[in-house]
Amino acid sequence: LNGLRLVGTPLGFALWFLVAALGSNSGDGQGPSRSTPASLAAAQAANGVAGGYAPYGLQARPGAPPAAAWVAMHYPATALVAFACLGLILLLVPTGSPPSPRWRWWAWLMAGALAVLLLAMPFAPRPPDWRYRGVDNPLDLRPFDGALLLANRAALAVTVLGVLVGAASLVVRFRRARGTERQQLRWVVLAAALTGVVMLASVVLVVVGNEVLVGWVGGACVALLPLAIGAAVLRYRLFDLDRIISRTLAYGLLTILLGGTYAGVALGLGQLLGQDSSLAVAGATLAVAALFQPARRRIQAAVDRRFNRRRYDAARTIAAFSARLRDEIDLDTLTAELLTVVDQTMQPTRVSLWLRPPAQHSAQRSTVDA
Amino acid sequence: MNPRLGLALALAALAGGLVNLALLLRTGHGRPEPLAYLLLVIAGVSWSFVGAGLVAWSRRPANRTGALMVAVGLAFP
Repeated sequence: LNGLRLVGTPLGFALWFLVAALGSNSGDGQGPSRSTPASLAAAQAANGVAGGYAPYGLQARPGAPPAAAWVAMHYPATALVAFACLGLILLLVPTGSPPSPRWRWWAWLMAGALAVLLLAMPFAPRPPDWRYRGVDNPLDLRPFDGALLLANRAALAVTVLGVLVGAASLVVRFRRARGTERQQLRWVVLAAALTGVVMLASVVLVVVGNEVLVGWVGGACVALLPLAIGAAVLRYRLFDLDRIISRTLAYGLLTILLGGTYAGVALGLGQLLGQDSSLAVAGATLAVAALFQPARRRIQAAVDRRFNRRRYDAARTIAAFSARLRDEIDLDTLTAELLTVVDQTMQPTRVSLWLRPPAQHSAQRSTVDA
Repeated sequence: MNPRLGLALALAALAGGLVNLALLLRTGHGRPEPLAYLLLVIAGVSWSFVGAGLVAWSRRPANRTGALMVAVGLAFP
């Protein structure tokens, strides 16, 4: 029975991982779906459940659910697989291939290290999770402890290092990338930057002692990472990213400003009119409502001026052209100026302007090659 | 990607996350956090990886990133 269990979930994961990560180099466009049986989906779901099953079977209802000790022995494999896959994702995003063929050996090394870890895990004397150190492994092969331990440590180091190397490969890829690939990577950079900021904020929150908030914020950020990677792979709204960042910054600052204003006005009026005064709340609400539009315009302009220089310059150029338009009556001059403004603001590779004189019905064409 | 496999993986992730959540709530040891918190940290992270991965895998089958994201989501402990 133990022999049968050995080919259970950890090895199923190893098979999945190897097939998904490296086995589909044939370029048939189908990925691992052809060679992966659907039953692996159920095996993987069972692996995901194992994280809750082990504490339930060993702590909440000891002895009641079957095979809880076996699950406690093997379920850390899921974390290892998730960790290794994350490293590979960072290595492959957004094109699905490493930055260059020279990185391919690292992907194979990571896959091999994971396979070693998963194969060594069933023979460890105790579960890796310290909470279940009382569980004895029936497959404990103590005579091989030294060699297994060494292999286990080396493979674990490669797996952990995989995420860092994957992140480094992203930096290399971003520096070399041009055109669409660079735009794709900006999604990932945005998510990574957000996660980095949150990690720094988490350190402060841990020091303060608010660990639940750390979980909330960290969970939200980790949940954003796959969405950003998915957007990068799907090439979703690549050229709207500047606007998204600009709006996020502007509305984030606006929220802080209005929140501070509301609190300040409510507290100030509360001191003057009494803590329970509804007039203070009404005054604070009115102040925030009155402040919203002018503050939004000013903050958006400030953000654009600081972070979105091209859009700011384009807006200024169009505003200047609109002002000149009121005084200029010469059609040729206007045509030349319009083409220049379009060229400066939108930077097209080629721009043309057709004017139809009302009497002759023949098109007059002006063209500028940018 | 085979649509049946996609559906099976999505259902597996959904069921796995919910069962995991139910087991952790029944256990209760050292987890005084509210349900919404557990839902975000345990199931939300897993589901976002699986959801984004399935969409990426079905739309760009040649790109292995989608399949790996599904694997991370399903393996997330």
